[in-house]
Amino acid sequence: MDAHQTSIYNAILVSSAILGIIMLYFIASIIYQQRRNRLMYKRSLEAEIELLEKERSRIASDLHDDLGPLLSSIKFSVGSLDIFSDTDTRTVDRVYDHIDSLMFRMREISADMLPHTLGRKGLVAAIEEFISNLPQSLAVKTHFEHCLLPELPVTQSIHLYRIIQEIVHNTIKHANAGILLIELKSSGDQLVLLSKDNGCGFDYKVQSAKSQGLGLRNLNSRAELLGGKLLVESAPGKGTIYIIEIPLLTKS
Amino acid sequence: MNFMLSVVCSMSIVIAAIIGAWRFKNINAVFRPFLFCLWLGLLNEIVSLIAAKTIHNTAVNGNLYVLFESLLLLWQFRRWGLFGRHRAVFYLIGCILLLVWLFENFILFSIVQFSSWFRIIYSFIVVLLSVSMLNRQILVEKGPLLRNPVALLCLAFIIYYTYKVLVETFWLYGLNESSTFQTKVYLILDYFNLFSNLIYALAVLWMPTKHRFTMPFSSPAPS
Amino acid sequence: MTAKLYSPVRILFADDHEIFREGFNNLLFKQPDIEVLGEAENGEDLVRLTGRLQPDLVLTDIKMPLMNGIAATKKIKDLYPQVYVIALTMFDEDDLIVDMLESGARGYLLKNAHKNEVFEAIRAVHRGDTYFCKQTSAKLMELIARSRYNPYKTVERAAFNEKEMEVIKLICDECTNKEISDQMHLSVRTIEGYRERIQEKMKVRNGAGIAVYAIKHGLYKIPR
Repeated sequence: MDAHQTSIYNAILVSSAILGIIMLYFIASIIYQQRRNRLMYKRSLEAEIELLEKERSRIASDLHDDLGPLLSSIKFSVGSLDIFSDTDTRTVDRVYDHIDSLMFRMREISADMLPHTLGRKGLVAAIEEFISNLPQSLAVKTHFEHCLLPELPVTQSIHLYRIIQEIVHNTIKHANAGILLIELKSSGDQLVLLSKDNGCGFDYKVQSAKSQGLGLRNLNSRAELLGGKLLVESAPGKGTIYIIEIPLLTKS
Repeated sequence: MNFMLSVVCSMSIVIAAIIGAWRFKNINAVFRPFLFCLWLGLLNEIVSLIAAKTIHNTAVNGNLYVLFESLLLLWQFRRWGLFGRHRAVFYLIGCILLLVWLFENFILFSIVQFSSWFRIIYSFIVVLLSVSMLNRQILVEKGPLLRNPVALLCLAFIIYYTYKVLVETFWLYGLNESSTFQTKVYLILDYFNLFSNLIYALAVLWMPTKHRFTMPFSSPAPS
Repeated sequence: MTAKLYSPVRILFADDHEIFREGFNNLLFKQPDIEVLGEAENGEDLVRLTGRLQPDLVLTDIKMPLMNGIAATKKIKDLYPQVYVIALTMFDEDDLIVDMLESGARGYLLKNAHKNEVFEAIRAVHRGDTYFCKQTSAKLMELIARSRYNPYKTVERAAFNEKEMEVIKLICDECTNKEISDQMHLSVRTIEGYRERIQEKMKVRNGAGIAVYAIKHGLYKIPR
């Protein structure tokens, strides 16, 4: 190589090195920013959901504590009236029925908002209660299987409970399924929630692109908040499988 | 000595190719174009070795290879959803690549000759597409970016093909005189080739399996 | 069915919601055989009033500030064992009901029970029987049966003949008297007679009581 070529070669080397440094810096900065972005996103999502759950908890308590006793009181007060005519007796009986319906409905709404069992007896008991409270008239029969689970922090339990609520409601509304199987198992340091139905399935690419695919997005958000991931397997006519894997936090 | 080094660097693609073949059934179909590209690359390296020993001219297989490589990569970006609804852009770029290649290899020069124009143009296009795709991944990826195979591949593309543009441009300006000079310059590119082949291997290792795909806009996570 | 007693039953009740106390009071004060001695708004007040007024029977809410119904029941049974306790409960407090029973309550009522059921419960418990609200769910029945609560210790293990066992099983399956009579090819009056005899033997007052007794003594298993 003559001197001319050597100097060109050196030029190439130097410019390559400079370009390399610029690229490296660029990549490092991207990664750093992306990490910060992730954290911020996660925090805002957490805050949003916490707010939501607080609201729900408040509504559930208000219903239970304020309206409940009032309704009972009304019922008893009405019962204490002296009724002398048959038509009046019938009217009072109707009133009783209405109050009973009110209380029943209130109980449903309150449980939907935030079931007491979740805090008191844990996730598994709450899920079993939720499933056994589903109307018998549904076409879908839901089975719940679980293995022995470690104790979960309340926030995690609530998220998982909501996820299952959402999945069950989605299945009832859209899937036309006969059977829905929900499995909650833990293996090693992971908790796996599996839901499988034999319904009509859906094309998730289409669904999640639609802005109404809020259901899927919700599930995804909650799974992400738990530090885990949501996996969806579904095809038209082939049923739907949801798998949610979340890492188990060791108790500190 | 330099030749051996060069061969080793190029053949390093075999690692990624083997991992790809071993995991092929499990990998989500979205990554198939890239896998085909890997295998084609391996094939090209082998053919080049043979051609170098026999007819002493690797231009034909080289020129054919870059055409297919460019089209496969373009197709891969489409599979990844980069073009979204703008299918026209995809077809446009494809046509441009094809026309430039035909023009260069049959009209301007000959297919048995090496020339730089097509290589510069397609490398440039790949870099731009990779930058766009990487930006999308940044917005969407919730986990560590470097574990995302799409991001990894885009990074590798950006690094390698930028250098390729650089070297081929220098080439264009008639600096193909002595063979020592050629080999030394190509050696730079070979190191980057090695580097990116290793990144490819890592990416293929971390490619998500079939069915394990959540939203189209969120990245396939390593499983 | 409901026996009138010679002297009125003297009761106290406790609930932390004033509105509820008002309604409950309205219901009870018109009854000639029930005398409301007073009201308490938490467990501590209840225990204190019980000591001062010496009622026959106490009805108490479970969730109250300062001292809840369970602790109050335990205290009352400790200090004044002759006083009977009935638990008053809102919905979805199944495990608390069981706790109340284990602490010494003789029965429980849902707060939206029919007024007649309230009277029946008071009279039954005053007589020494247990009383489980008619609206008891199967789940709760099982919980109670499985718990340590066992009021039947002083009752001799009753024997039931084949026909009675069948009636018990059908009652536990929540069949109405008509359905039972159809299935067993007997008249409704005969079934009613069986029912009364069974309830007498078990010392319970309604279908829920029958079910709990049956589960507890292994006469019936809730199908899954």
